[in-house]
Amino acid sequence: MIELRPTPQQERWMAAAARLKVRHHPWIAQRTGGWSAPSFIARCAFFVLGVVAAGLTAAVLEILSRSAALLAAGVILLAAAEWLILRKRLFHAGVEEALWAGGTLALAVHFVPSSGDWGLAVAAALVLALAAMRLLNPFLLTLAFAAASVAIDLAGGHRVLGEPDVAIAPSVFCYAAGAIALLLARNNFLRPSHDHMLSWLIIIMPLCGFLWLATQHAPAIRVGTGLASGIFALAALIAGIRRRSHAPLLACMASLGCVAYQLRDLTTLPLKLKLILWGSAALLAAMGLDRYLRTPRRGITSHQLSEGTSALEFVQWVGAGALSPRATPQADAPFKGGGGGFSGGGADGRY
Amino acid sequence: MISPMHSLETECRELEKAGVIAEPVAAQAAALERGTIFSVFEELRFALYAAVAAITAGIGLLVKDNLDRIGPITLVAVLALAAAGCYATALRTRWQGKERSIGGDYLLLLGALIVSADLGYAESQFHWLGTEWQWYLLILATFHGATAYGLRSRLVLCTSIAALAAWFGIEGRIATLFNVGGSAASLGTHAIVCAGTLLVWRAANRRLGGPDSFESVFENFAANIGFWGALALCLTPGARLLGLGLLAALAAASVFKALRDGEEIFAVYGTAYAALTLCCLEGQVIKYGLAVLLLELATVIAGALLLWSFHRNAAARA
Repeated sequence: MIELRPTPQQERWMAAAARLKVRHHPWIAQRTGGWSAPSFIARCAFFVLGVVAAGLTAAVLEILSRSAALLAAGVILLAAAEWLILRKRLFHAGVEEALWAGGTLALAVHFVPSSGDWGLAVAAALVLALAAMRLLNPFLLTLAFAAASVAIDLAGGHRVLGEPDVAIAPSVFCYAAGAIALLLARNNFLRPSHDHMLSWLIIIMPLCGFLWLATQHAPAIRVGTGLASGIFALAALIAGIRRRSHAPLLACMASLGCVAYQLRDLTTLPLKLKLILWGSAALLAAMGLDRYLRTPRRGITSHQLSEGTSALEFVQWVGAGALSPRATPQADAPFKGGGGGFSGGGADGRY
Repeated sequence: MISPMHSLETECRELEKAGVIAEPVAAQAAALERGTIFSVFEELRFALYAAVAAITAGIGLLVKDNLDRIGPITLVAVLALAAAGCYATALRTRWQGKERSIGGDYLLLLGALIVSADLGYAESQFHWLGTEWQWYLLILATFHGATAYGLRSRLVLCTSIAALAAWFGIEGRIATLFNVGGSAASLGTHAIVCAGTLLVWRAANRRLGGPDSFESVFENFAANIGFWGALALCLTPGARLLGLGLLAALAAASVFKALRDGEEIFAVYGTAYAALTLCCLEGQVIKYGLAVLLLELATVIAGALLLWSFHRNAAARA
């Protein structure tokens, strides 16, 4: 019998093995039914390679047969993705996800006339949602919701780019999607991937809702989005602490960032001082919380309990390096080459 | 009330019974799954990073605006005092023999970043190094390197490496890579030399008994800077062969390291960077549309297969 995807129990074993870093243990292999998933960093790499391969396939077919290129590309990519899933038993491996999403998008573009109205956005939302359900992929589901908000905006007669646009309906849709996901996440799910799907929606959708109206300067809109983000942040904080869940806490932090952005005109201080003052306040608050939670309070602690993944560690290091100031050109000294213009010392001795 | 969204506690217990994981590991994992213990370490790290980024951006604007009213000496002194405050906290923790918390780590990083901004501003105002002003980046790299060793901080080590890379002229702008015949060639050479310097530094760190935790920082930065250098050389008409040779050597070294140490991230570097660089190179060299597309497609598929074979190999060895 062909299995379309791992059973919930098999998926749970895969998740437990990944969490406890025993992914390759033979005992685990017996319980996952031959399904295999690489680590998160490898999944990202596979996804990028899959996206490039999908694009190249479409380009090759475009040269061979212009009229049916997208149809052929869609069919080939979908067939390849299904072959990888059903025969090679890949699950959350990245490459099959990129091929499936690319294939369905190619078919949508082929069959739906792209006259600039909302039809293509609806089709994109539907096929991305279909891909997300087939592959149990949280990223694709979030993209589907984002595409749906674009469709709502276009259906309201607005252009996404160009003309001024008070996109209240898509913003409300995004906030509502985030709030419903937060409510649904109260339930216990057998599949970890269902949990991840809701987590992504909880974090990203309120941000999307805010971004739809972030450029509007009307006081009512600014107060409205600030309030919506503030209420969502509070609800997410309470949910995160009660459920001991990371996604609502991250959503709370992101929404607080939105509130801070809307409060930017609260004082007449210049931007640099606002950044320094708000940053210092956040730094002190975080350090205070870190200190307070060094002794666990009702089970919540600031200690690192499990080893971080190498990808996360590397992101942190790159982030620290990225904050370092770049070479500062002289204010009025004779300028030779310029910082960052490959005239740094030592390499060739010439300036 | 604690109600975790989903719990893998049963699986953790079964893994313990089967002897796959040890009892303490299983107990901690089960407690985490149950929600009886919950770490907000990652959330704090995210908040601390955002706070430090905001302060650094604010200081960057402050320095850029020059602040004629305040005057350069006052500004330099204020920044130095602020940095000293950050370092003092880390020094006090070290003298007390305590382990620095994540908050302390980021406060120290803030201190290092303020020093970077302060020294850059001072150099731009007082011209201590004259026309050779770029050397302040090397001074910064040395200072941050010494601080990183003195206070055992990987984040400060990253700022040291960033200053060193800036001294080598590496900006981190992707557009520069595609400036064929222009700065891409020198960027490539400088990046390769920078990656080599980092590997020498890593070897010295190992030989002289430096912290083990620093090694992965050197290795990851060296790999990424090296691959970007190889990519830049591959995109430069006169240096393609050299670039290809370096790319092959780097890819082989990365995959070898991944196989030896089981570090999957190096397998990703070795295959993904190589496949994408070859695609760019093929796009530049071959003029016929269909042939280049087919070759690029074959290259990407080969890269994916190589990465998958590493994954299989790791599973088989386990």
